[in-house]
Amino acid sequence: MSGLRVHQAGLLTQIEDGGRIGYGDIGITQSGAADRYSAAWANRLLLQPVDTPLLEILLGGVSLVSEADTVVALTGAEGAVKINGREVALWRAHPLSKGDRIEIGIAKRGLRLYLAVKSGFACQPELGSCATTLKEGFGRSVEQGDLLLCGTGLSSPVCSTLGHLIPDYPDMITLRVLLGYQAEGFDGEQRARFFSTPYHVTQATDRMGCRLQGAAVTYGGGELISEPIAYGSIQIPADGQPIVLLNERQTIGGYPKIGSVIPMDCYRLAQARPGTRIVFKETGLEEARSVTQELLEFIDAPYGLPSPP
Amino acid sequence: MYYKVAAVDAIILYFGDEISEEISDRVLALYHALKAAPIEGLIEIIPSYTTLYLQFDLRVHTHEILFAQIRALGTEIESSSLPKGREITIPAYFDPSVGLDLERVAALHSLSIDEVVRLYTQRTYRVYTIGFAPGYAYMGSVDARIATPRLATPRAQIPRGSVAIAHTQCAVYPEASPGGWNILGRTATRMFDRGLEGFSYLRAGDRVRFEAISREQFLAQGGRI
Repeated sequence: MSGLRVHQAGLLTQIEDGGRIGYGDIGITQSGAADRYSAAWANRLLLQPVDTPLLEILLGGVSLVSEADTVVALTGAEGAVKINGREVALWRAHPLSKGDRIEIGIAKRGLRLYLAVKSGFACQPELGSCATTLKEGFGRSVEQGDLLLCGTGLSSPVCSTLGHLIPDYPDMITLRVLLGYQAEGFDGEQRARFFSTPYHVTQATDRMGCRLQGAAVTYGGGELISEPIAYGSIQIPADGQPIVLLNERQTIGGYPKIGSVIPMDCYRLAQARPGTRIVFKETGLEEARSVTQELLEFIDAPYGLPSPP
Repeated sequence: MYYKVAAVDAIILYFGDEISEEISDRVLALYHALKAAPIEGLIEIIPSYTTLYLQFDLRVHTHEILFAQIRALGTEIESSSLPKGREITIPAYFDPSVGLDLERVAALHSLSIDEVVRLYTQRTYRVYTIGFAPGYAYMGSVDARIATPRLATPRAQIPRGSVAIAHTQCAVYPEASPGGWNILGRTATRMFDRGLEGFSYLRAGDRVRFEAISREQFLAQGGRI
């Protein structure tokens, strides 16, 4: 087994997959790729299961030298990626030979890049997953000098994602919200404020959640007994500023929640930089279900070479 | 019992609106029943004080139909079928050198340190839920005579094994972490261990007592001051 040697590790680079699922009852967060759409595509471009362990790279600034003959695919945030000094396209598979150098510059738009390798990075799953959760001691961030193990001598056809399926990273995004949890504790006036005024992403955005700033929303209900928290839940703490909880959310919390952002839009939020404007839009259960179902069908679609026309 | 939408693929069941053993029994009876005989398409099952959270594969379930199925199951489950929580004793060293808030808690309630420790260790606590961090067990209820609100400013770092209270809740910090609970003592018992069956030393429904041990015993058990 050979691998990719890390010459520059960047700000925060770590192995992720589909997450550590089913241990919420002992307090373990799900973790996993923050932008699962982009991560799924990186693996799909290599014709392999979408949750195969890959690198999640915050902003970029990473330099790797291949010690294997393999194929990689890069998706996610927009940045200059070079192989042996020549700029290459994202959302595309690239064959690598021993000695090839990949340099990932600092992204200009979006927050997280995904780098998948043919057959996946080798790692020892813990509780069924290779997902890194630093605060829980699962895995560690990638450091300079690491050899990220993967198979060698592997090939894969050069696939790329169709243009209209590649997300962009606009200065304003709309997040579709399914009302739930304590929604009834927010009266008409509070809901109107929440859905009609734009918020923006603050500096406090990470894999745990994204803190927003804008018009304060007041919860009219009583004190809440701590209860389990869903992916995408929108907490409204006492200061009235919403927090959208993401992959490394705490499993249980005591702040009131107005509802939750649907998964597809959580992935977009995970790519939103501080300053990005956010508009919440109420959605119904039917629409939320059909959008999410479509996404799951994409993520779980059989992988393999597209059949000839 | 009623439910609310938690997410497009999750419901939260509400069993009541106060912290009580009776409500907790009902939550945990259903939780254990679902763990023992899993329903296909359930992804996460998380109990808390008054709630049970179910994340599901939305290609298998809808909120409404899953709730109907769970409610039917719920009426079959007798609370007597609840696995009796295990009885667990946690040895801990209660002393100002490790119980960083022990003196303040005592002063606040006009008690001696020994009285605080006696009131704390004479009760058996129920584990209501595990959350916040892996293996972090929320237990209750602490004697009202020593109940103490959270610190106004949380500490940046609380040592692993700290035995702490907040109002009438109590817990042991499984790992060093930030936190705002009042620390009374420290245990050498590992609360979360990936080599342990079930990983978490405590589970929801367990009944826990703390046993005051000496400094020598604590050190002998591997405790650090």
